[in-house]
Amino acid sequence: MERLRYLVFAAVAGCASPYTYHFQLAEAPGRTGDTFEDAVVKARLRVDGDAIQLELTNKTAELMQVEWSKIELDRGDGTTTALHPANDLGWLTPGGSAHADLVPVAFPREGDVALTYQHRRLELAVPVIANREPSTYHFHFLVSVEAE
Amino acid sequence: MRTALVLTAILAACGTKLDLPMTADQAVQLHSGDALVAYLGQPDANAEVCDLAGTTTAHLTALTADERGALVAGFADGKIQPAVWKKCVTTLEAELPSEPRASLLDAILHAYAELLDKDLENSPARVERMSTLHALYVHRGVGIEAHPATVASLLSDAKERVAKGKLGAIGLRFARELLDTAELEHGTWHGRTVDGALLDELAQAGNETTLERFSERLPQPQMRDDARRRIARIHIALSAFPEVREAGPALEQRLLAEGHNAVSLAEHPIQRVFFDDRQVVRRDVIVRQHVWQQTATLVGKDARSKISVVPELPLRGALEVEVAGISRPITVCADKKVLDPSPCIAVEDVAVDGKLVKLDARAVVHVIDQVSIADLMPIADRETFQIPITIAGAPVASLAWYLRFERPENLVFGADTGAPGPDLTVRAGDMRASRARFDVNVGGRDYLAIVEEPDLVGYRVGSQGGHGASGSDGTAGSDGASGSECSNGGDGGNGGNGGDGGAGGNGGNVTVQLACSYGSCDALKSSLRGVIGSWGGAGGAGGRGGSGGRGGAGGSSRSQSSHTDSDGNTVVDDYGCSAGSSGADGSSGSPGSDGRPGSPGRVTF
Repeated sequence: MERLRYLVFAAVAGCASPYTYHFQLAEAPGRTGDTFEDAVVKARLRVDGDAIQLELTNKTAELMQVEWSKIELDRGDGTTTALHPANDLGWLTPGGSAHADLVPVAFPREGDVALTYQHRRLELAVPVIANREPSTYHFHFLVSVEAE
Repeated sequence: MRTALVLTAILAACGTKLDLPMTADQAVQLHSGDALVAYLGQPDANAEVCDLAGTTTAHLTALTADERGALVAGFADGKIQPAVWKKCVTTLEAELPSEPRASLLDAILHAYAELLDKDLENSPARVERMSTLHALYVHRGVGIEAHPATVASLLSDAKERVAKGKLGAIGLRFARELLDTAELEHGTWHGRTVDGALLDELAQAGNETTLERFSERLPQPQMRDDARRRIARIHIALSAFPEVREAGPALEQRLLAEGHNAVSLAEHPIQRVFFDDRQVVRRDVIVRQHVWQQTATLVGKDARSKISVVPELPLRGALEVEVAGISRPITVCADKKVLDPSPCIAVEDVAVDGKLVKLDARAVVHVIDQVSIADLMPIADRETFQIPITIAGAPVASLAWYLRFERPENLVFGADTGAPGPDLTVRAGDMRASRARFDVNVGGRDYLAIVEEPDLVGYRVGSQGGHGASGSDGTAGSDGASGSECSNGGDGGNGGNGGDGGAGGNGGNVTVQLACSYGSCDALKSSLRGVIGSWGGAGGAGGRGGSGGRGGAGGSSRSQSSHTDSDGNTVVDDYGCSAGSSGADGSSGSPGSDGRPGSPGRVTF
């Protein structure tokens, strides 16, 4: 019986198609490679494993607060995922930077559902209080999925 | 065990079918776990249905064990979206007595433990649900607790899984944060005792996230207040209002005491009020009339024409007010827990007018979705569903959603079989918004209907006589007697004639009183000519003729019989006989005549 169970498991595992994801920051004014920059912030973004790595620099002369508990990832299929830094962070002083691993990020690694992400556009919304005004930065990622 | 599973499957299959969209009122009436899940599973569902002490919309008054189980299972299975579910459960947590609240928390923690065990890395939806359960538990209010045994079991399980590396990367983050929170409940954070120095460090770093955790989970009330004071300090430092940043410790103290910075409208009179279009929810309001019950259901239609319940409308952020002496527009005060130092309008100063909307204690507007048609009359001549807003008793603004009435059932009053229709007085009027209204008083009760102009084609209001009685069927003829040996069968009897159908009742007389407020009466009369009427009842169908009896069967034949005498001659003893013939079938009766239709009554405009 035990042997049969292993055989069944092996057969099922053999059917699953594992996929890898590639994320690219979408073309937008102010974007160069994986970095976005305007008069207020400089942001470097990379999707890595179970986190989106965000390195943010406050270019203003005022305190900048990121609303860390209100960051959302719009998955482009009508669903959103709330993200937060893996470690609690505070505000950014003028000229200061912060590095956040935004978690939890999950993508289906196996099966056809992974292919539904092919060429999808994800939107990361990062609300901030910059120059004392609330606003939200929207960063877009283009997804490509390929079989391993 | 197997029998139990089969039985469960059968019961599930036999479950009551729930019609959607379902209003909060209908969900409350059904009062079952399935109904609660079906309601909350709809887009725009209002979590106020879970507000046991609510006063604004239809809501549960108690949470049964069935509803509790379904609510948690419905979420774990992905039937209810996280945002509305979280709002519902947060409301229940705040209002349930301690024992049922602990049972609800137990159910949530069991769902949490089950999800933690699953493959989170491969399922974004599962992670979203896990995040919701996690946030609900670690950010719960003070005193909101599950049973200690459930918590102890979850924590020891989480510790063991972390220690033995049994969790994936995502599950590990959740488990660690859960254990950190449990540690905080004993007054330490990452091994360090929480004291004033640590709070100041966090405030100076603008680390609101950690201070929020402290204000929620530290064991002593004073320490929680100290954490809140640091949060207020951060908010003041970040404020866009220079008068706030310069207000000093007095404002910090006020924020801690009152939770907001409401302005006195006597000292700061209102100068201008407007809506922030980016914050306002847009929907068309669709009215579904049930004319015989004289009730109506209001539903919402979004830009993609999807019909659902009418969404709630938070005024905070959507309503902007310029007041004298304050540098920027202000809005309605935030929840006190938020500690927003921005000058704001106290929720108590804001009100909405009208029977069809209500404002809750958070300044969220709710549309009453189950009303009487009479309640709709004051708004029925408008193109829009308006939500008039007053501040300090003075009307300041009105929000308008497009209003549309679905075509109601015909308002035609019938009668019993063959009886004349009732005499009626129909009051019909034009309306400003290209609609017609009808009001018919029958038996002392007013029947109202509102019809959009394009729907008038084919719409009917009036009196109709009852259908004539159907004629009775004729009796069947009797069958003929069977013939005896060699005899003929008897003839079948004739069927009886069918009875005539009864006459249809006449339509009643209809007097039409026109109220032409917005156009010419001739035009109104002309548009209603085919709509308001009197119709005779159809004549009853004549009875069918009875069928004729079958002829009796002829008697059987008899064979010749003979013998041989002594001389050898054949002597015929009996020549026998041939068989009798069958009797003739009776003829069928004639069908009755159809009754004459009733005549229409007189219609007088």
